[in-house]
Amino acid sequence: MSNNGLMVSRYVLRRSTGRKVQAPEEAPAVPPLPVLPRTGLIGGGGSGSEVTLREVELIQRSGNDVWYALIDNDINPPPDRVFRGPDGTPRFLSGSANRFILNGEGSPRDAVKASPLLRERYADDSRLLRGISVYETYNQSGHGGSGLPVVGAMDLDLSVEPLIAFLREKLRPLSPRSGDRLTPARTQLERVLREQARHAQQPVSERLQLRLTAGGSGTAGFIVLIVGAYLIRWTLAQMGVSAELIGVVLGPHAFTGLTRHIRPNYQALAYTLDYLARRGLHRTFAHGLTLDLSVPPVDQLFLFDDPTLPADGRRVTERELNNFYDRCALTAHMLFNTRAWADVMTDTADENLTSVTGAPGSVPWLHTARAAAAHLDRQGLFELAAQRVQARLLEALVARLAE
Amino acid sequence: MESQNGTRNAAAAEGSAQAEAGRLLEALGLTPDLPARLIKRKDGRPVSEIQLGPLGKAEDRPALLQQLELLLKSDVVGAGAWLPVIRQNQLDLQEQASQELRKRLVGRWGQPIRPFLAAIGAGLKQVKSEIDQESVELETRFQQSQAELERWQQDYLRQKDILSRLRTLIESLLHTLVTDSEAIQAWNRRETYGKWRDAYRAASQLLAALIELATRYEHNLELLAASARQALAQVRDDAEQLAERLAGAGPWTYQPDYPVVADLLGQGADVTLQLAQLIVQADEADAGALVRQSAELVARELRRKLDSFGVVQAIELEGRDPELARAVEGTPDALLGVGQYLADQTTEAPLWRLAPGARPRREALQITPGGAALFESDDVSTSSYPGHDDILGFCVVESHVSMNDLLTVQEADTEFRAARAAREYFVVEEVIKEWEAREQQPAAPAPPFPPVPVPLLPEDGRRAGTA
Repeated sequence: MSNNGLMVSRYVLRRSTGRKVQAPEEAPAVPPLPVLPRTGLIGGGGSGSEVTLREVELIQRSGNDVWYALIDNDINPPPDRVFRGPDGTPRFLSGSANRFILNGEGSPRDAVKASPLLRERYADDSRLLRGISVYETYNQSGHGGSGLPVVGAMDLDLSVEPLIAFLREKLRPLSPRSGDRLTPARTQLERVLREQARHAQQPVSERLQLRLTAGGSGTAGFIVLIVGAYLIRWTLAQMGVSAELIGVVLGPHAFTGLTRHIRPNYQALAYTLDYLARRGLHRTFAHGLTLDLSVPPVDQLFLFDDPTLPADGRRVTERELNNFYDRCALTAHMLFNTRAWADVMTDTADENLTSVTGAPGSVPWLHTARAAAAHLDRQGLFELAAQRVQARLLEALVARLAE
Repeated sequence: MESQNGTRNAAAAEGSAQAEAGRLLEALGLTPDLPARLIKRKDGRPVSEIQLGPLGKAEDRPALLQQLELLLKSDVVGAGAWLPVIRQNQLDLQEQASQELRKRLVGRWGQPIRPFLAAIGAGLKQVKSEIDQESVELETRFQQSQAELERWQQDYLRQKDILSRLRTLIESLLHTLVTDSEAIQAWNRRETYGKWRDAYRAASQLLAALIELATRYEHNLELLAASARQALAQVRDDAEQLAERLAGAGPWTYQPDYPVVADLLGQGADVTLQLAQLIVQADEADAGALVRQSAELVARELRRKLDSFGVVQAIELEGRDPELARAVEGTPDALLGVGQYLADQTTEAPLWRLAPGARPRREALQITPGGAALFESDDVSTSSYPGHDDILGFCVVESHVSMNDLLTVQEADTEFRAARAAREYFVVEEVIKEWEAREQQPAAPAPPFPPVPVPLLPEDGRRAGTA
């Protein structure tokens, strides 16, 4: 493709994914960990995936495992993670596992033309592409979106069917019915009444908690939060799974300087989320699905940021970014994987937010949190103490044998 | 002076080791009298050999015709009686001596081992030398008796007719009424020397086995010394690497000083005795085996201590470090200090930037292993992480905030409008429509600038952990 007949060469940059950790060739058999019940994590985009994987690591280091999935439009996965398990054995978390790539083949700008709906939605003169040059959106798929949320939107619009299939398959283990052998309902009335009875029997506190973490200033995370969240809700409803959806938006100070669209993207996301909280989403997808959901995208929305970043005021460093991801993962772990959030919820009068028709910007549904934790690696302490006592014994033995 | 003292101490130790070795050998009966001990039955009476001679002189003498038969035997006949006794005594005493030697080595863990082992070996060799010498003489005498008897037997068998033979036998026996027949005497001597020969042989074998045991211990000590040095280097390296890994394992806000806590935990783990027992039982001085086996010994001791040991216990234990007491004045409460540190980490920087009118609902929680409050504060509630006594946390949550309360969004509004004038940032058509409809309304007044940060926790001193 050329722009006005000229081949435009440019360096397409992506954020470094860091050191790739090689899994051991002959990894010893690692005992499975008990899976946290009623908990699932979804990471949207690069930053969301980073934080989600770090939280999975913390959960595994605490002796449990957790269901998780990653959704991105960048084929480059987050770095693998190697860490000590609770019993001291090395554990490996692959950045490539449980991952769905939005629009994995072909250019999105070309691919949307295959659908009349998408052709119209993303026409060159459409509102969504106003002021955005063709070359900026003409990415090879699977290479992110260069900080343009509309690229993420195109990628998701092109991937709705496989994304729903991915969600349906991945969410199945979380369904309380996954072990049921119920006979299929004979009529719609029977299906409706069964669902209502099951919902009534299932206490709020025992509902599935699905957390959706994404950066607020990029592309894939952006679209996962505002459209992907509704697809998740719809899929869960289709599967008869009742869930509390919690959104976690990262940034924007923590991403300062990474692209020139950080703050405008975040503003657009903030306004969009506020709108959706008031009006819900009414959207038709290319394969015929129409979502008409007058509910917010998520039931609770958390904003995780560090207003002190970046230290130099211009651009966040790799170290600052990694430290930020670590703190977000730690906060999420301490708030949601302990009883802290449940205790906070019982102390407040707020129930899950339902659609509120109010003035723009007035929906009081935002939270933030920060946690700090002291940790003891008991197995590590045991091993170290044993080694140091051994060393003392061997020192005494060497001295005694020298006499 | 020091070398003289060292020499004197070494000499004293060696003298003491020799004396103790001598007492041990004496107590076990590992002396030149050992053969006599080996022929004793359980009741203490020695096993006696068959002796021929005139009837009426001893109640246990065989009858006349039986004696005639025995006189013609080419080899000793009493071995069936004394050999089982000797063999059993040999085995029993070897086992007893081996166990006693091990026990003494273990008991000497705090004292030099080499001089003691050397003295044991030397003592055993001395006794064996004497016994071997005596055994040679016994063998000579036995052979002489055997030869003498054989000559008589050959002369007897050369006689052709039975009547002559019978006369020779009876004469030999009748001779004993007046004098001791040479044949009878030779036969009796052969039996006696045969018994003692077997006893001395058994004694020599027993001593040889114990010498080998002592030599193996000495040899093992050499190998053990080398492998112990190697194992020490390895375990030091492993400990250093592990300590580094533990210290660097994020993203925790606070971790105990693992080497300090490890050393405090290891105090009092007295596995010296078990290790001594292990060493004397080791057949091979393999460094890897030594480390593994010593690791198991130590692990058993420590596992008992760590059964109910969590992060709170680790912090409190580290707080009792004598080095800390020297460095910090007063008697600090380590747990309170760490708790306050965690609380401060959640509030030292703003969680978000809010407009002056924002009134978030704020909740602070201490997250403890069992859910019991470790710190008292009116502003801090308690939550738990059941089943996880390895984590202690503090969390602040702010809620009930709307987009209009976010200073981050308010401040960027002008920049956003300017950026959006050049290109679109929204991706949902309905949002664009609402935005553009609002654009046509008069703009809301800008918030005051610069913004005033909202205090996150009361500054009245009633912070977590403060009385």
